[in-house]
Parts: sequence; C-alpha cells; structure tokens
Amino acid sequence: MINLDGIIQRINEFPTLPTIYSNLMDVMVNPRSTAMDVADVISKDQASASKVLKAANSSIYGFQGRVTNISQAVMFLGFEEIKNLITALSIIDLFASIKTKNAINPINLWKHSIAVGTLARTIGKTAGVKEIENYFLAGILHDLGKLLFYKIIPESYAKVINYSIENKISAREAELKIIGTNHLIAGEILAEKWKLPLPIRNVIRYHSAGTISGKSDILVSCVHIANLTANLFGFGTDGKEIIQQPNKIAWDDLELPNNFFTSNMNKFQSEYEESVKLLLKNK
Amino acid sequence: MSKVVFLEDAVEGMILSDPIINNMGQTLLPPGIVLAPQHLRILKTWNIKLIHIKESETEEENEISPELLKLAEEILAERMNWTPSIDIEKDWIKASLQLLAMKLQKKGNSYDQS
Repeated sequence: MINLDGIIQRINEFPTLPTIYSNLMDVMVNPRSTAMDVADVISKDQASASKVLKAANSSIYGFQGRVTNISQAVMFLGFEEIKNLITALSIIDLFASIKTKNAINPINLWKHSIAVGTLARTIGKTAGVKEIENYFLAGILHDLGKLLFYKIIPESYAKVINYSIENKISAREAELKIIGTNHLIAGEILAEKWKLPLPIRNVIRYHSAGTISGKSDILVSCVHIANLTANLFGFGTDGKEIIQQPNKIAWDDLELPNNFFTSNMNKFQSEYEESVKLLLKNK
Repeated sequence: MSKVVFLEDAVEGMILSDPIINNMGQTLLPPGIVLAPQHLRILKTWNIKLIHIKESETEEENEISPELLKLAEEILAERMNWTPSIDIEKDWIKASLQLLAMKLQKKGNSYDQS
C-alpha cells in the first residue's frame, strides 16, 4: 500500500506551476506595475490570453460581450481576479495531460470542480460576501488532492472509486482504506508546495468538514455547500455518490433564502454548462 | 429566460434576448432579432464571442409528471441515509429532485438505475 510518505515524495517531484503564473506573480508584487504590464504578460501566452477573454465575457464574471482585449479584461476584472483566473487555468493545463484509464475519468472530476467554482461564487454573492474574487478559484481547486491522486496513482485511485461505490462510503474513507491517506491531506501538501494562499489551502483541507476545526469560515462554508450541491445535482458526477448531510454550521453561516435552490436551479445548470465549455473546450 | 451561447454554437433562427453592444457602447444588434446567416457572419467579423439568446419556456417542456418525480425520489433515496431537517435543506433536495426528473424526462425514461 502507498502511504503518506510515498505520496509526499511524489508531490516533491511534482512540477511547479507554469511560467505565466510566476511571471504574473512577479509583476503583481511590484507596486509600480500597471494594468498594461499585467496585460503584457498575459498577452505573451496566447492560450491563456484567449481563455481570459472568454472567461471575462462569460456569465462567470458578467461582462458579457463587452471585453474585447486583455487590457480591458485586467481593468474590468482587477488584478486579484485575473491572478486567480490564471492560477486556475495554469492548474487545469498542468493536469490536462492525465490520461483516461480504467474507471478513472478526469474530465468528470474537472467538470465537478468547475461546477463547485461557479456554485461557490453564486452562493458567496447571495450570502453577501463582498470580496468574491477567490471563490471561483477555491471551488475549482477544492479537490486538488484527488487530481493529484489521478495523476500520480491512477490505478490505486480507480480502486478507491470502485471501493467507495461498492461499499457506499465516502471517497475519503475509501482513500484511507486503499491509499492510507486522503485527498484533503495530500491536496493541502501540494497547495503548500505551490505556495497557494491560506484561504485556498483551508478550502482544500476543510471543504468536506465544512468548518475549520469546528469554527465557521465563510469561504469554507460556501465551498462545502457548493461541493455537496454539485454532487447532489449531478454536475460532473455519474450520480452514484452518497450524499453527505451538509454541516449545519455552514448553512447557518451562509443564511441563504429558503427558496434559494429551487429558484436558481436553472441558472446553476446553465452557468455550469457554460463554464465547462469555456474551460474544458476540446476536452 | 435567456442563456449564453458561444457564437460558434449559435444557429439561424435563435432569438437575441439582449442587445449586442460594442466597446464604444454602440448597439450593434437589438434584442428580439431572429438570427439569420448574415447576422452570424457579421457577428463573427466583429469578433463577438458570446451572445444571449432566448430560451423556450413552453408549459409542456417544463411540466414534470408525478411519476417521474417519484422515480427521481427513489433514485435519490438510494444515495441518502439522512432526512432533511431545516427549510433550506428541504429546498435543496426539492431542487435536486426537479433537476433529476427533468433529466429523466429528457432521456425518455431510459435512465440507467444500475
């Protein structure tokens, strides 16, 4: 059986994020940088530039059809949102080389992650969160540990999926049984290696629990509910997973209107489909 | 109700629900236009990537039979070992049943229950 030490060793050998990410971070930490400097870095990477434009014009950000160039995208979305979008795109690209094997279908995991990203953002807005910039990224990355397992131990993870379905237990219980650790811990270790911000690391570690050691955190609450909603609504899943009851502390933290889900379900569905098309085109 | 589609996926006959505005604030096409091939060509020339189109909302399409809702309940019950206790949780489950029933309707009751 692979154990946590084995996983840590594989994480240490894991690649760093692409050059565009580090170039962007370099420009953004410089207080003298302008929107043009940021736009220059993005424009040099054609694939990212095109996806940033598409994302800015999508319903995720709401500037539909109005953003025509990268400089505008930077000005409209702001540095923080652009940074998060590039981080998400960089990580999607990094994992894009995962080959489909046996029971494992990484595309469904991506679809699920994207659904959690769009849902987390909508739930956060409804819960009255003002600084919503990292909600989409947090949702996209919540299952970083699972993506890592898909990449480094695909055969073992195929067993985890089968074991979890056959025994009607959660993925993390099956992971502990087959791999000896779970995706929450492994994901947090990779997030630390990549120096992702603390709020994102908290989501990766605590999205299943819904609280940080019993204490509410609005971002963790949002992703907790968004994750379970994506599972329940069948966004990016095969509809067989066991539905966990959400943590009451997370519901209380969000104070969503009582008809929130029935009145928004069509919107959730169309935003999810649009975002998948945007971020996973040709996949 | 409207939805957003990529221009490359837009087809003749779709109806614009929102105006198409360029970055100078000028309206290029007003809402209500039924897209014709020449509109699609022009939008491509203008480098428009996404457009809003009207979605059909006929009664028949949105109506879900009680049988399908019952089937959706049975499928969901297999995946849950708890009962919703608060209003928001009940609404959450209700929405998921409606979505599942709609999926079943689209698939013509051929949903794989295995």
